[in-house]
Amino acid sequence: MEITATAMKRCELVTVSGRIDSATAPQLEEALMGLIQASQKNIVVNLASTEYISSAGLKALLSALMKVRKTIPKGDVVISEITPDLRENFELVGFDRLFKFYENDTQAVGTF
Amino acid sequence: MLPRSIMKPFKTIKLKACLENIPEAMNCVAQSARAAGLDEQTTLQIQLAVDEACANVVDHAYAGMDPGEMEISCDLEDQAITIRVRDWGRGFDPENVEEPDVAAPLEERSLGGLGLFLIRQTMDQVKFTMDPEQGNELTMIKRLRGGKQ
Repeated sequence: MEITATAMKRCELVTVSGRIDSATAPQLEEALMGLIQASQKNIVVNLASTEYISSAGLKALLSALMKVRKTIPKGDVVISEITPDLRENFELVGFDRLFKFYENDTQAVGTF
Repeated sequence: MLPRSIMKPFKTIKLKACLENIPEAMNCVAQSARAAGLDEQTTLQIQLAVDEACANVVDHAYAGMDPGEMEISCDLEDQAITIRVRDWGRGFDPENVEEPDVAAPLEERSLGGLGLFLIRQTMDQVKFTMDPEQGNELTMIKRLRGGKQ
């Protein structure tokens, strides 16, 4: 799994490629928490090249969302370019009710 | 319907129960599934179930003790694939694990229980047995629908 983070004007764009499984999810959690601790509370997570996500990966995203929503002012973690298979996993655990989804990075970044 | 000629047991793999070994367990099961002609969606679902089951062994079965071993096996028979994940650590009753409320708003969501929930959502049958000598075994069964597309 590879994670790249790009600072945008009003948010951070985090692109994840590969598999977010139980072995690699801690890296994602560390990356997201690192950004939040550095006061970056608006995060776009691009999942276009993420072929797989387990509960550990889902928990990492949920943890980040919970944390930024408690900041003042509130932040957000949004999802960009999710594939249909991954979207299915998000829907299984009800994350489609919690996260906002965008078709591309331009739209996602533009919401901040 | 899958031809009987490919209905044969898959291999078993025994690994130290740590997160770093979970991809190997997943790949082993995936290779076996693909070799048997299962479609990619089924193969991914089986990988997810193995990932979650092994993560539970690492995080819970051997929590607070030196990591032991986990044994993963898969069998293809009677139009179903059966995955077994065995450990020799602390047993647990899946019935005692509270199912996450997937309809709850963010402020009421908890982080736990997602792994077992996903196993139950992707596999058709899940059962758990505990034996002081044989160990704890999580059996997950996926009924096959047509095999390779």
